[in-house]
Amino acid sequence: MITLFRQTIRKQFLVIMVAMLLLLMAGAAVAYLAEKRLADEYMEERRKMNEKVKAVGLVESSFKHTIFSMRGYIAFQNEEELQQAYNSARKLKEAMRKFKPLASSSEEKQLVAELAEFNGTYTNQLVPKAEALVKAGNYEGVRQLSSLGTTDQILSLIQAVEAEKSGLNELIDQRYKQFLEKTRALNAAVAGYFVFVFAVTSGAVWLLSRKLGQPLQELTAAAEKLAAGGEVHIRQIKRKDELGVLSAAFVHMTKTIQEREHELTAHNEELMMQQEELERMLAETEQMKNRLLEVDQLKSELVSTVSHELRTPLAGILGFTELMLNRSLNQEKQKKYLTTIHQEAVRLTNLINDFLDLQRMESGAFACSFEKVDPAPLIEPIIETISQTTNRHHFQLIDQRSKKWLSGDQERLIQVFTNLIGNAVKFSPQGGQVAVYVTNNEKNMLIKIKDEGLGIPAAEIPHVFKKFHRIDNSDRRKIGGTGLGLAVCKEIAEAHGGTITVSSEYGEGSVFSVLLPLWEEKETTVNGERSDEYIDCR
Amino acid sequence: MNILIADDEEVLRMLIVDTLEEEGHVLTEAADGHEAIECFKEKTFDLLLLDYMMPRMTGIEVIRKVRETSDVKIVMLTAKTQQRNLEEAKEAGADFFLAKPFSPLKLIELVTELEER
Ligand SMILES: Nc1ncnc2c1ncn2[C@@H]1O[C@H](COP(=O)(O)OP(=O)(O)O)[C@@H](O)[C@H]1O
Ligand SMILES: [Mg+2]
Ligand SMILES: [Mg+2]
Repeated sequence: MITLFRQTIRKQFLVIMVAMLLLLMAGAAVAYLAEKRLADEYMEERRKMNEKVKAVGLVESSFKHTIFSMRGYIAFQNEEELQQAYNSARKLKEAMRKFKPLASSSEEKQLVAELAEFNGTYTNQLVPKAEALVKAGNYEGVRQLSSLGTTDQILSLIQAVEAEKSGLNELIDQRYKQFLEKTRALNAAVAGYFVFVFAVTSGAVWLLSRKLGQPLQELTAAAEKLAAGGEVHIRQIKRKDELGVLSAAFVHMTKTIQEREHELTAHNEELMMQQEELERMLAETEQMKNRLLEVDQLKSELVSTVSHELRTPLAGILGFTELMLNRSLNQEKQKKYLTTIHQEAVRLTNLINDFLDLQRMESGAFACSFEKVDPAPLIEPIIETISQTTNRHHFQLIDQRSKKWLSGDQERLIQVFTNLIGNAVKFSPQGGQVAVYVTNNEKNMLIKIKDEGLGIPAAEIPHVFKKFHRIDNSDRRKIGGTGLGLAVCKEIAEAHGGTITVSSEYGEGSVFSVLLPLWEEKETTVNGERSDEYIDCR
Repeated sequence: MNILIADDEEVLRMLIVDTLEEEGHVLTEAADGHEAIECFKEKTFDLLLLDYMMPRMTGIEVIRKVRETSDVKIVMLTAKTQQRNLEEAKEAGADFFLAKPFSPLKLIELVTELEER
């Protein structure tokens, strides 16, 4: 039953309270019964003693009457007195019979015995003797009779009876005192018992509340920590009462909250990641937009550049032809004009070629036919042609090769070298040396074009190979161009499986390096089908 | 006529010089805007033939600078035929336009016409 009740705090309290009540009630009942018994016992004893007192009184009075009546008879010879004496003697006998069973102590029993004996002798021997003596008028005899000690005996008996009576009264008093003492002791015991029960109950309640308090404090601390956003690791209190339930609920709640929190954190992280992603995408979009804008600007710039670059040589060609057609010119002038016209036509062709190449590159239709190429005989005529356009530069071809052949598209390579040597001249307006180095290693041929011209600012180096990119510095504004040359060169070098790089000291000159794969004899047999891929490059 | 030709293209300068010297004009060459301004500081000209696209200083900038001190007749030679550019040049103070490529005979006609005014 206790274990059953232990399940709840309320029940525990109830058990304690009920136990206390039961204990109190039991105590009260026991106290009541004890007191009742005490009182009953006392009353019984008192009744008995009162009876005894009464019996003793009766014995005393009848004894005295007997003696008194007898004396009266002897004194006055009155028959009535004698009759009285007999009556009293009978009464005494009666009283003795009543007292006898009440006599409890040995003295009383002795008294009873003495009285009985006296009465016996008195009524059976002395009285008849005295009666006879009186009737005979023999008072001497009566005197003798009394002097035999009867009177003394009577007096001592009377004394004894009186003593018995007062003794009894004293006893009654004593018993009453005893009864009162016992009652008081009982009351004290009951009071003590009540105090004890109360103390035990209080102790139980205190223990119980302490048992509740600690886990409650722990739970409170945990709840506060949880509220403050801390991580809570609380173990479930294994109890069957409300606290156990509360603890279980709290642990569950903590778990739920922490799970939610983790979920939230995860969500948050996800959101943050998504946001980052969005921001990244936005930035990308922005970048894309800017790039598109840039491309747009580049395109419109290209249009204006192309338009300008086309019109300028056309103006020369048209102008000089018109002059030649409308004027009679000397031979020298004619030659000069024709040279100019030719030069401008070449320029126009180059521009259109570059532009078309670019268009092909953009549309992806750009292929090369690879063959065994010796670069030196390609470069020599280019230098030859370009050197005719300048007298400020001197040219040098330094051939340090150990291998003769590279794998390439001759026409394309001419384009590259023309462009690079052309740039070297174009961007060194003060003149100087333009040197072309040809070297190789195990796998590649390296062609370096070195000039002593304007050079390229470090910040521009990563951009010079971009399409349409021209460096917009005052030192080269008057130098014409489309910004397509290097982009085309790069595309061609990469189509060969090679590279093109630049190193430059601004104001000191530039070195453009073209790395191209060497010709491998095997290549023809292994990659024999290569020629099938041939698409007209031009 | 005293004529200044400012163009960054040597070929075009040559064409114009050859065309107009034959007609009896005196020509001075400038390879860019700055040179043109410098020439204006040294001499006075009757006519300025000015390229639109030149490095360092565009034709428009040259007109503005020249117009600060001179009311010389200005003919713009331009490959840029867009209306926007022409209006800008007009506002700056250009008098005539000649689109590249141009005919040398037309140029002679124009210069003669300007001379007669
Ligand atoms: N040898 C060089 N020295 C200095 N600058 C150069 C040299 N080659 C190319 N550049 C710079 O790189 C830019 C891009 O070259 P390129 O693609 O050939 O265009 P373009 O020759 O039409 O200007 C040039 O405008 C020039 O400013
Ligand atoms: Mg170039
Ligand atoms: Mg120009």
